[in-house]
Amino acid sequence: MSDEAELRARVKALESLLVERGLIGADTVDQIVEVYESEIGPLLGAKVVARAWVDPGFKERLLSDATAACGELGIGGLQGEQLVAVENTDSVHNVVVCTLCSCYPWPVLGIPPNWYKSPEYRARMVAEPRRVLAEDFGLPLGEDVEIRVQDSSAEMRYFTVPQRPAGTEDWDEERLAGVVTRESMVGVAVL
Amino acid sequence: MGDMDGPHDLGGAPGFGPVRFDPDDPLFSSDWERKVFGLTMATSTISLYNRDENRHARERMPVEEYRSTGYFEQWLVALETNLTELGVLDAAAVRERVAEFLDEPGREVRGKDRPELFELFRDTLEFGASLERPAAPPRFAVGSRVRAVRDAKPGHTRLPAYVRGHVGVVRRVDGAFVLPDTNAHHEGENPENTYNVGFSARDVWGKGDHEVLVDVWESYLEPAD
Repeated sequence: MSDEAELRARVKALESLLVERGLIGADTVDQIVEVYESEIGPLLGAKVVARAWVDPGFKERLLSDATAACGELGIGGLQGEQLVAVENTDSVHNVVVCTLCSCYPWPVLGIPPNWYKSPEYRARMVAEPRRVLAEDFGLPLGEDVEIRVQDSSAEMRYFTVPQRPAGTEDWDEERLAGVVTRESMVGVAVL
Repeated sequence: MGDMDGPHDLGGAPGFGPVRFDPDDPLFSSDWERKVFGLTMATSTISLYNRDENRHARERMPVEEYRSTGYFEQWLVALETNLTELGVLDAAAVRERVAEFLDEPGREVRGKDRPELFELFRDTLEFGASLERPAAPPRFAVGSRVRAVRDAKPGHTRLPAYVRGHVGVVRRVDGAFVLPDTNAHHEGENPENTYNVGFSARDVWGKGDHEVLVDVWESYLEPAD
């Protein structure tokens, strides 16, 4: 018996007992997961960032009240009830972590990727971000760039607004959204 | 740094190697992980336990077990712990059912559909489940110098060990929220103001030129001056 077989049996046991009790439906689990697989993900955050790049008024609102600004685009809800957007510039670089678990702005970025949830990321990003960014994410930052690490330890859910890449001045919003990556909105990449 | 209270409190913990970064990692690496995620969302949608209980169930795992267990397996352990401890499911019935599925790995879960439950989840998804509550006016203001308390109470808390006893500066005053320390243990919501507090890495770890910003509840802080 492999570990995988045991894990599969443990999960089925819980689901089948909960369905038998009528607490959940036989259809419930798949329906919920499909929402996160098909509807919610970093494409939503990319829309927010692209809007901020083309609309200075929106950017100002986003940086002062991200929950309300994302709400203008119909983005918000579960695990993003209180959103905070922080801007990355030539002189300040923000990066987001959750050292205690895996808090992440779900309505903006979807559910977190494995590396974000990993013990290595949680342990090291707060203590040695310059080294982790350079060595593990290929993002060497100049000594003159101030690093701010945001540990999502309470209710605020953070994402970063990366700098708009050079040479995109005549791009429209939709094309801009296409270059915004999940990593750039967590602060482990620049564009 | 101070003693770690639980296996989950990893900020600054020594001994970890490189982050295995893969931008193309799938969200779930197997079907059972996918199911664990869905089961957790389904059972929290119908409030079988609260979020802080869920976290605390993971944090009670022994350190060796926590560290040798994958992320979604930790979630599975929390589900088993909460559903049996809270009396939703009987532990012996769970064990028996596991044995049955091990004997018949091809057997699928069958039963009645409940489309109305998915509608309830849709509402939670859209409107969220904010834990913001009214509370007394904030004790600290932007710019206040504050010290994170040295000692954590036993049980669930959201004050990372690495800032305990250190002085930081309030960068932002956020709303008041349900206190996890009591909510995890059915001791009430006790809402408190929360703050974004900046700590210097050099002060916390003796090296580094960055600032670490931590979000904390008011009772985790005392005036530093």
